[in-house]
Amino acid sequence: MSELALEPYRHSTLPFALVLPVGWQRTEDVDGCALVAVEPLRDDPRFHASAVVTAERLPGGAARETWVERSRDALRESLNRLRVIDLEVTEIGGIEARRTLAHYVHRDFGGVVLEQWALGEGSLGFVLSCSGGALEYDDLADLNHMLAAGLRLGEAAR
Amino acid sequence: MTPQPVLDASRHTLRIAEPTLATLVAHTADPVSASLQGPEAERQLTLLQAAGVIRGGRSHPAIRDALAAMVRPELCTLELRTGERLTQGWVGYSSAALLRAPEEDGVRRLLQLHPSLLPEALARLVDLGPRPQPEAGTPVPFDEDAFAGIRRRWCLRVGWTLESGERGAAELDVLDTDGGLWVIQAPEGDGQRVARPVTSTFVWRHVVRLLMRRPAERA
Repeated sequence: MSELALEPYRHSTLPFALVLPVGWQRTEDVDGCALVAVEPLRDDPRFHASAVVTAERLPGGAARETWVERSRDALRESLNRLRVIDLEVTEIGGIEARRTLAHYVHRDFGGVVLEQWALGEGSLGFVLSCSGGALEYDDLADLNHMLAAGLRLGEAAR
Repeated sequence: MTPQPVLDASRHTLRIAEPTLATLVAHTADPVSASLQGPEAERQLTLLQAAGVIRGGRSHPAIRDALAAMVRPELCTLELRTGERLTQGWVGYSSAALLRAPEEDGVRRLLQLHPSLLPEALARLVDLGPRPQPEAGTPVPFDEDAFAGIRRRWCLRVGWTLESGERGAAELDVLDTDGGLWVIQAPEGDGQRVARPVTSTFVWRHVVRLLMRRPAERA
């Protein structure tokens, strides 16, 4: 999976860009997500890997950390049996980012790993969420980190 | 006296004494096995039938796939050792079985689960979660007494047999401390074991690696 060819992608209206695997299906602005990219669907009953970007206006006056904490709380409320595995403060394109590695139980597919990076630029907060089947994490981890490393916001995305 | 098994079908768990489990596994492998003859086997079978674990000659569907994985672990087998406690596992392509370490009365808990839930089940058993991020550093000679704030030491060992008959095994030996996680590794040649600081992400990834029958990379 991590040997997939990557190609640049830039959102049509929002100020973010990243690299995505060639052939992944992309949909913009659906269900509150700025971008949903999914690996080619095959006729098999497994969870398909995906990369989702959400963008939201940061609450005025709220610290980035508070926003990140709220995002993590929202995960706990929306995902079944969420277990946080790791938290890390890192940097993407010169911007501080908060990485969360977590696991939840999907009612149809079983264990799913969610790796998420949250970072802000100006008044906008962006979250990149990479998901895949739990037993595929070793195949997907490098790809997840490549997608995150390629994320650019604001002027850097032009 | 052997305690009666207790089946919780809604949770796919079975509390069972080891002799009774041995009989149940033998029955799953071959219901007319010679090992199921004799008064002791008959007593165990009576216990299993009374508890509803075996009905009409078949095991209860809530644990049937776990027993199938124990008889034929297509993917791998595992042992998770935390101190003196040993949890065992058998993993097939569609189901897995986890057999928890004996409880105070010697009885064990068998759990049926989907293989994709195994990494999280193991993570829960060792309380794998966020820890202080390690600073990049060289490994240090391993002396457990030299580490402060030890939470637990655990070792996951996974073994497998490929379709070709080729066998393999690998393990992940972890020291969990308040200051972070360390992987204990044997030296390439002779010499003392070393401890390398690692992240929870590294440990999670390598638990998955082992379950997928891939030897853990060196930290």
